[in-house]
Amino acid sequence: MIELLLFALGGCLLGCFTGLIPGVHVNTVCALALALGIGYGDITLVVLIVAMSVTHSFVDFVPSIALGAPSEGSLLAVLPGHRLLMRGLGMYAIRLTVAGGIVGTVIAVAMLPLFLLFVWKMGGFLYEVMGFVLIAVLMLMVLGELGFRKKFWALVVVALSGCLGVVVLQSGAGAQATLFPLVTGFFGASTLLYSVKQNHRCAEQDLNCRNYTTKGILWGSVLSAVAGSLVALLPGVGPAQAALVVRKFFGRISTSRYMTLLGGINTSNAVYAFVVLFLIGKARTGAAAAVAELLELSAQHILLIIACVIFAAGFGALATEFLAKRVLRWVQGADYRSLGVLIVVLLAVMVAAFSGARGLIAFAAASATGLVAITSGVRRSGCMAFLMVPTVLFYLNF
Amino acid sequence: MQIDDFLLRRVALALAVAGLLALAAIAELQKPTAVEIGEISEGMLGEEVSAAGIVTWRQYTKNALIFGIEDSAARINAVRFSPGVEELAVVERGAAVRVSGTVKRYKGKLEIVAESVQLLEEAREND
Repeated sequence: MIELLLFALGGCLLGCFTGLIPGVHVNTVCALALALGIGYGDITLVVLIVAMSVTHSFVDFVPSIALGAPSEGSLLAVLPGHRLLMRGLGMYAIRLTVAGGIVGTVIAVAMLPLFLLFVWKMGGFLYEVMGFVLIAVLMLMVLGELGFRKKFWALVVVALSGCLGVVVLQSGAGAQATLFPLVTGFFGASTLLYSVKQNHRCAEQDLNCRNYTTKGILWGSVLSAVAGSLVALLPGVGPAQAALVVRKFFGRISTSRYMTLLGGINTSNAVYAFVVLFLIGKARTGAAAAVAELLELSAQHILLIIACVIFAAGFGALATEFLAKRVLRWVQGADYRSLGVLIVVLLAVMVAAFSGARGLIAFAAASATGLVAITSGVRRSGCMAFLMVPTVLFYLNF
Repeated sequence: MQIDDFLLRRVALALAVAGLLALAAIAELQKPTAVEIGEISEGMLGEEVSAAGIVTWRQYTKNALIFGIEDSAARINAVRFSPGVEELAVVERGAAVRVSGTVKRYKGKLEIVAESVQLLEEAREND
């Protein structure tokens, strides 16, 4: 028991590290943990991996929102998060994601019977239609813009992003080498570069803002459980794509509910991914894939994993609150223009280190595409085509 | 020099298109030769190839993922050293995958030392 607790705690601390450092993908650490096989027993390693991935999903939002340096799990949060940060509401944005994570976990566990029914009744059907659903979302991204001019530029952004995604992601290199340059380019560097160009000033941060409603948190968390179930069930559908599909399906939702939704997806997915692994033997997350190599899941293991998820969610929430305050105080005290330039340079260095020259070209092209979206006034979520187009091609067997 | 959004958009568009074309050219130049499993022979030792097949077996050790793929005509073993968890998830029995890597000989048999494994189609049933 003590051993399990210690490994859970160790996993949580590792998750804080991977979450804070952009470019350090939790899957890489999962693979390393698996390869090193610490040797204390399979179940202790499982607990470490689960705790790490859940804590990561909380802390991940801190660099995304506070520094504009996103990762795959938090990339859509950069867009509204950055706007809130500029208005002095960075802590509020992060707290919304934390609330989504905590409440999303509880709701995901409570909705497990519904999820089991969903897998049984809808799993096969969803697999067949997912390609078409994503095509519909892509079309809505273009047609949803007002006026011919904006529709045109939205189409350009979607086309460029989709082509970049196909060329880069289908090169076969690992997630860190391929996703990182694109994610940081589309959603990080482009935002920061434009802010620097416009000489945006970051307003003084209100670190005590807690202006959220119970109804908003609950609704966002329920949506996060729905989106998390899609990620857990369908190959190639990540948190960002699921968030977009849910958002389009449920219509316009407020920024605060959207942040809650984004915060809850990864933690609800963490619960459902292991249930899916147990039920149908498919691993949809890196953590689930690592656990699949360690042991044959039983119902008892699932209960232990759920307990670990809840523990790590609590730790992650507290750690995020602690870390976010310190990071935001530092951001507040810095010259935002210089900070923006520094972060872009650091991201470029990390891209070069993890992904080489090819990654740098991808980073530059993705940043440029993001800037096209910003300067045209179209939604940057159109850049999500970089993930959605390859997924569509997979589902349509191209 | 003040850069307005109009100019920035044009420059960014040119850069994005140039970057995309460069990446596409690099991908095309570095693409391994696509072959049928049955075409892989001793004469291809050291060559970069890409072959598709159904995973028939797999074994994971701490350092390597070893698996076999077959198509309608032939079969071959492949090994991916230090596999990522994404690759562990992709390579399951019954899944259709494309393996890209170098043809090597190990214990008298040809195999592909994989640089990447791409999922083409999931296994429909869990054997």
